[in-house]
Amino acid sequence: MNKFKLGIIGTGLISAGSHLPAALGLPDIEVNALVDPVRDRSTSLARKYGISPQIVQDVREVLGMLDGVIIATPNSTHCEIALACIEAGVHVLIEKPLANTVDEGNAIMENATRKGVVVATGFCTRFRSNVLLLKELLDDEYFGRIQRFAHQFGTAGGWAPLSAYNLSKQEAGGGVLVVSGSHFLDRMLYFWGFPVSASLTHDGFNGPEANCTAHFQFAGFQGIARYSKTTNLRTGLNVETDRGFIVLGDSDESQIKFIPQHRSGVCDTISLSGKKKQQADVFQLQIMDFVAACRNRTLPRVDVQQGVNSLRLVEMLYANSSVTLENWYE
Amino acid sequence: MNEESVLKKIAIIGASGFVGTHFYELIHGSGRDEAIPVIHSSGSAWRLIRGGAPLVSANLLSKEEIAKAIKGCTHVVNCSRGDDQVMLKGLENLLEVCADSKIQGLVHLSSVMVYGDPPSANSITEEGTSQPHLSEYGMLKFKQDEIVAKAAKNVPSVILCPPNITGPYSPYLTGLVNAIQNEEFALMGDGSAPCVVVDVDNLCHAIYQALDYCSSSPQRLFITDDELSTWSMIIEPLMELAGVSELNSITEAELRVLRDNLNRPVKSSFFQSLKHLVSSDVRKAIRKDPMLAKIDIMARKSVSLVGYRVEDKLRSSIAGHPPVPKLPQDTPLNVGLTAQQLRGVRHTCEKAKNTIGYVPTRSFKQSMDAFSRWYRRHNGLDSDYWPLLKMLWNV
Repeated sequence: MNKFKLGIIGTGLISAGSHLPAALGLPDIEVNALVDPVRDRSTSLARKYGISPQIVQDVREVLGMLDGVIIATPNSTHCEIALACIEAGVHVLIEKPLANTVDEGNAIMENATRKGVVVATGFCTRFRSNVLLLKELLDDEYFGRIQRFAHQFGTAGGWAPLSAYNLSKQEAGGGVLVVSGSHFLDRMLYFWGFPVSASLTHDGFNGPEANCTAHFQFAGFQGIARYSKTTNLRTGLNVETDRGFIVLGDSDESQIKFIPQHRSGVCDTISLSGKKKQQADVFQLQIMDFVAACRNRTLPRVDVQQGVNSLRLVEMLYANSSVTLENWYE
Repeated sequence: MNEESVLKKIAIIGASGFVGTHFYELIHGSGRDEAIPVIHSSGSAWRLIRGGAPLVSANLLSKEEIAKAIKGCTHVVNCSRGDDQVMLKGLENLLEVCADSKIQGLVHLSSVMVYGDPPSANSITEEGTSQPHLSEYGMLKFKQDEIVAKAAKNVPSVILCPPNITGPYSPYLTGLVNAIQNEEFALMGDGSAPCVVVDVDNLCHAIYQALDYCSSSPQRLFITDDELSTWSMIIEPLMELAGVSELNSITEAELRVLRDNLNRPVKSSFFQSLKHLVSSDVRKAIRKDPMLAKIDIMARKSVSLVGYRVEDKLRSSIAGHPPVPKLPQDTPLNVGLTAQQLRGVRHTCEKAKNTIGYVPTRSFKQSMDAFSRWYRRHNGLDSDYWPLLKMLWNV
């Protein structure tokens, strides 16, 4: 089988640290192009990994020689770049979020359908073995019926993309909800589908919010998701059921824990047995899934429709949001 | 704020830090002077950007970037932190550019740590003895003070020395809550030892006041709360936030021993180094290299020639006895943090009050209450979901 010819668009932190090394570790893929308006970034990245791809500043120069691309550029540029690739018949794996708006997401979906091109959304945490296992167990009501849930993720600072696009609401499509929260929003949709209602409180009084709390109502249960870029929070998901609490940390390696009701001090750890429990690199699994979908013309694990659903939820949250101002001294 | 002072355009270097952000919010909120928040990395600038602050990015190791960032400014406040190179060479660059840009005044944020940890007993006032050699951070801050003083003929300056800083977003108080929660902190005696702190709002007020008193012979000023606070006064409200009802205690004598052990330099020892060299981990790593693996095999063969009894004796004399299982230990104390209770000296802010008109408007209680409100909201303590969130701490 011919090697899959991959291009990486955007050679900032996420490509340098995750997408490129993941792709280079896969035997049936060759990275043929690095694309970035700042040429030096691509050059130094190629040198760092000892590869000799085409280095260009505009993807249009190399589209004819590629089977697929990973788009890892500022969020506001995803749509335009994706549409150019789709028009040329090149498959796209778009780093999360799919785009900045539902309209942009729909444009990507419609054009991809018309051209028969695969579009995958880069929600890499969907490739965690603990997430897949939790979904199975939740579906089976293995831990009982869900009553409510809480998820939180918070770091004081951190993640500083080279372009600093994350600090611009226009470029990122939102604040901490999009930058830190969108991974869980995607997982939440995967676990339970679209909520009946959702609302948001945040502190972005004149710019992207640094702290927010989202409230969700599902049929029969409710929950919250809290995100912070100013406070280190103990991260993870806690789902309360009629039998106890399911706790899962927010990392690839976290194990599912179950604390039965009225049994404080008891904690069961649920994990996969044998080879299944080995967690491969999620970025590598994501690329493998994308390439398989391109070759077999099947849907990737997180397809374009799921990417659009995630955008719908973000828009719904911002539409039902209120700002909480700070006055700590009172 | 001094109503009579003329309008200023103030570049805040290190604006994304705890003090820098608060100072920006204060200046921007007053609507009188103009503040330019200068940051290095976008990672920690979220608190600034949510209010739409017009961020300017500059690396202190680049004079060009500094010049661009402070262009048109009348004053500079230096709250920056970083590695040694940024703190020293970066500061020299900043002062050079300030001189070229005819900056009218620079307020440099130093620390009471230049008086040592523990501080000299006579450092109640600024004229006390500096002992920067007692801590790495103190030494760095002392060197910075010297750089600022040397450049002051071209860049009129003031050097402010705050102690640990309280108030909303305080990393110091957050660290204490975590230490209490993790049982890494113990209260010394009855907690009556003085704990010198300053509220972040008070400190920022002092920074603003100091802008009008920059001189070619920069003064070093203590900026502290004008109240006698004790460790128990700090710790008690934090225990509530940490969800802890009882605290470990330690005597002054015990804490002195622990601190002295912590500060004792590790002596180099031939046998200790040999022990590390013959450890299985080191040899395993060495054997990955083909040439070193050959040397290791040769060494191994040579030793085996002497017989297993001698070999065992040799091994135990170098590596010591094999480890035996131990009972689970309590969480080790954070000695550095706990030993702050031995500082004992109450630095007074009288000089700052008299020279720059510093008035600490926030009381200690207001400061702790403000921190508490911030901590509770940001960590979800008052949320209906707190029982679920709390479990994320424990599991």
